[in-house]
Amino acid sequence: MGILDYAMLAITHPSEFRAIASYSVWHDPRRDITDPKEHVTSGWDREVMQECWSWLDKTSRSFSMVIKELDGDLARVVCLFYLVLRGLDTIEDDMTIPNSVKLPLLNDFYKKLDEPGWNFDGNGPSEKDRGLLVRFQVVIEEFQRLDQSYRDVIRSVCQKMGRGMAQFAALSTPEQPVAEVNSIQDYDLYCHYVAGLVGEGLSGLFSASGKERLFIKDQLTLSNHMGLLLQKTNILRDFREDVDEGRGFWPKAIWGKYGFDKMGDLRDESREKEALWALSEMTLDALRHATPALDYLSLLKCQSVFNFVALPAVMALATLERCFMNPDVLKKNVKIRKGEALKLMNLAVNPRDVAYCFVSFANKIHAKASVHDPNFVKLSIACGKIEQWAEHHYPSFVVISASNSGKVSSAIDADGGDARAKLYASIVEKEKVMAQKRRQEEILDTLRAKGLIKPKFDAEGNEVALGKVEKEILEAQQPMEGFPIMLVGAIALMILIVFGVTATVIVIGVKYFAVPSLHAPEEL
Amino acid sequence: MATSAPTYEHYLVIGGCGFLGRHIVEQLLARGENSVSVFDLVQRHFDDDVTFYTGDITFPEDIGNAIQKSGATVVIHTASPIHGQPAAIYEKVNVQGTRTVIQSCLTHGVPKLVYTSSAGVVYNGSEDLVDVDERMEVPVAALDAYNKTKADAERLVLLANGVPLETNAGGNLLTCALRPAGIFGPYDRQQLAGFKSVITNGQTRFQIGSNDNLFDWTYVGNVAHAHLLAADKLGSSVTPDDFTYPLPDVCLSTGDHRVPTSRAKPLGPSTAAGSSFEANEEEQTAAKEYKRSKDLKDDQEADLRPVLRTKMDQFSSVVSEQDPSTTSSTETSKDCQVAGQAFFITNCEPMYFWDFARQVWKSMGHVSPSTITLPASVGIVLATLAEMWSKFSGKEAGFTRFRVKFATQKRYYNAERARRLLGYEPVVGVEEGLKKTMEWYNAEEARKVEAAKGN
Repeated sequence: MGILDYAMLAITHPSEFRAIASYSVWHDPRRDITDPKEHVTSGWDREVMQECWSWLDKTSRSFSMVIKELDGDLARVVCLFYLVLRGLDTIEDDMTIPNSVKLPLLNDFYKKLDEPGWNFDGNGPSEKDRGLLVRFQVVIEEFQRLDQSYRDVIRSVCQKMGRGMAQFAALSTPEQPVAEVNSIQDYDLYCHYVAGLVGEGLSGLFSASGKERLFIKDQLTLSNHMGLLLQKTNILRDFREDVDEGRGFWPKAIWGKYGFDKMGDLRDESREKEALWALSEMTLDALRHATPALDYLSLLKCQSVFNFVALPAVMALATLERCFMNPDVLKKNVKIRKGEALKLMNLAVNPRDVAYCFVSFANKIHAKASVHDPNFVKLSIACGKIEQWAEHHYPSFVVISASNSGKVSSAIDADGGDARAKLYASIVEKEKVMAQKRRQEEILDTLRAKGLIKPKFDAEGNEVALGKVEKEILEAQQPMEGFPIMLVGAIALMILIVFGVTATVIVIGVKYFAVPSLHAPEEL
Repeated sequence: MATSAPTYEHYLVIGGCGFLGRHIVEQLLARGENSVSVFDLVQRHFDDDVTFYTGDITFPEDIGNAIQKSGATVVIHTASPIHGQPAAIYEKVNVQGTRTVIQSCLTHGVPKLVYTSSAGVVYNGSEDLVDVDERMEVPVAALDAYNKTKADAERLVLLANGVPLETNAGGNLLTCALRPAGIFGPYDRQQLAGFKSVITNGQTRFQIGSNDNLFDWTYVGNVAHAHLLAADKLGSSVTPDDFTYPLPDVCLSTGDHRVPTSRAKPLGPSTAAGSSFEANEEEQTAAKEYKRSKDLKDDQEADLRPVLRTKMDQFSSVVSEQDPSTTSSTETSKDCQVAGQAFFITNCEPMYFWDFARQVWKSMGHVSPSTITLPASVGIVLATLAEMWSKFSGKEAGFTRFRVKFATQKRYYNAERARRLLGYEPVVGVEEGLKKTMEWYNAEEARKVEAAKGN
């Protein structure tokens, strides 16, 4: 971005400008892989690994930053995992490689990981990451240095992915170098091979590193959902670029419904409306993976792992929102601005905020949906599902606030109009009383054990009330109550009054106005 | 639609000619029950295999007669007056009528009573209902006569659970109450007529509130299905273990496709025998696994989403009781029993309030060319004025604060209790349910037009 662009951004999107500005000034990376203290895990002291790190920067546009901030050796492991898959992908993508070379190469790519010195310069000159394959021996050399548990995960994913890619690539014909994807099942399977497996692999690496719990590696379904959410978003967004290059991953089961014979026909501007309905069904299909992605995120424990997974997820929702009902998708590449990405990056640091970030994008998608859209009802339900998930797992009436001291506290907003709030306030109150009772009992028990007080019993053997001394002891042990955060809702009242005044002006027009006379639907 | 097996009990459906009652009768017949009777004010349906009893629910002799003659072992009580009646009617039918039904069950020794309540019983008219579960108490001041009497009747029914039957055979009465939210479907004349009148009055362009309020609409067939399950499971209970496995995602409307994993996935292209990538053993196994539906209760299955419960969760205490160090009694917790409980019944697919209305209007052949959105607060002020005017003029207000609230508040419920205890899952999605409903409605309208021509 030039200085002029920044000036423009400051005017058009001030909050993003602020995000960029504060990011470049204040962002303190969680770790610096070049720091000598980090060399033992980052491998920066080895020239070969340094080169790998530089390939990561060159080939990963969006995520090299979050990869580098992963804890311990995970950063290096994920970097190499990424480069291995990027290599495989570069072979799959290249339409200048004949299938006689491509298919066996994809199928056997995992074997190359154990062939020191192997590299490949058969890519077409315009293939953007051909350089990585030309220097692939550095990736292999570093791969060989990984612990066996990591190598096993990466090799196995690479094997399955290569085989799957080859199965799809084998469908190509001279007329159609990349075969059309027909059914939703085919589409899901293709996305599983190219992205779902990445999710499985990452879960495997997280567990192997000990940073995440062991069961994460077995969460195959959720890992795939996560991968499919990202992949489907990319496929949706890259429509024009892919179609122009003779590829097309949108399944025929979707666009065929809207009267198109070929995917390329969606570019036809005279049929934009139908193309947008197809786009909206693509959005719907991607949104299927949104709540399982939130499920996955809520299982993570390690902050840097969480950030690494959450950023692409919120970016995906942002992209889906940007593309939804947007004719530009059919004409060019639609991108999320860097400032937006940074804003999201600062935000997506805990499952609650990520969930509400999803909700806000879902709301924007819902607001753009048209009643003429054949997917109208489904979209409403899909967006509602995200809100339902968020409200169930992280009720919005629980207000989280962080103080300057870094302490995070939560409070119940009992006047926010959510009927659950009072119920939960009483649950919390009960818990508190119970906890206090338990504490008292414990204190008394220790005192009794030390023989400081003697239990008193009445004639029937029941323990009698505490004496004055015991009460004093107990009181002295009570912790000081903190000040609860007070919440004020008077602003709503003010707004109501202002509206009231305006409304009286409109009231003349009211004669013709009545609300739809819907009956309470529970009534039979 | 019926997914359960016949029990060959003797069923008496009170209100069996009503909107929901009729669906229950149809589902009972569809699953092969051989003893189905109906009690209602007037007979509207004529089936060969249903015995019909006419009568008034508030007359003990009427209801007693039906119970005796039908030999009922299960009573499903769905009767309730339609919308817009005076308070005295609701009191009489909902409260007195239900009291009569309960007493008749006790007198004649009917061991099972399922009552149709309403999700609206927990609505106080001012607060949003968001993912609300059955812990939410019925408000002290009820919203209106309908909801007050539904709540009172529900209380009576649940209090009657466990009361000894007065016949020689002994035993106790088992009861439960279902609270469906926003029932819609074929045979519903009231609500659809309401939607139609909005078109007739040219009011579809107005929208109050920003349409960000989720609302539960439940397809009538699902509600009927829940009633059958409740009757079947009334005497049963579950164990704390049954709260630990993940419930399936409800994706009836949004697309039910199993996500492939490396352990369970369909065979890919080019994998047929003899082709370049003939499926290997691992892929064959994965394909078999993909076709087999996943057993969510299988503790050997590693790929199951863990169920996370915070202390705010309604079942967190049930699950924590599993911990042997805190369990003191062996008796089944109330949370694990079907009898004596109320259950929210929803489609588990809440949608935004005005979207539902727009879709209905669209299916009626009308799409408003433009939308005028009024903020909810403006709506409240206008409605207040309208109500004042109606008091002054003596005409009934068509535009009330209640309606504004109704159209702008969130009202959706958590159906986990029904799903865990009754094994309830919605069978028809909201989208498909809407299609069925509007097909029925449009056919009915066409039939009316034809009939008018004939005259």
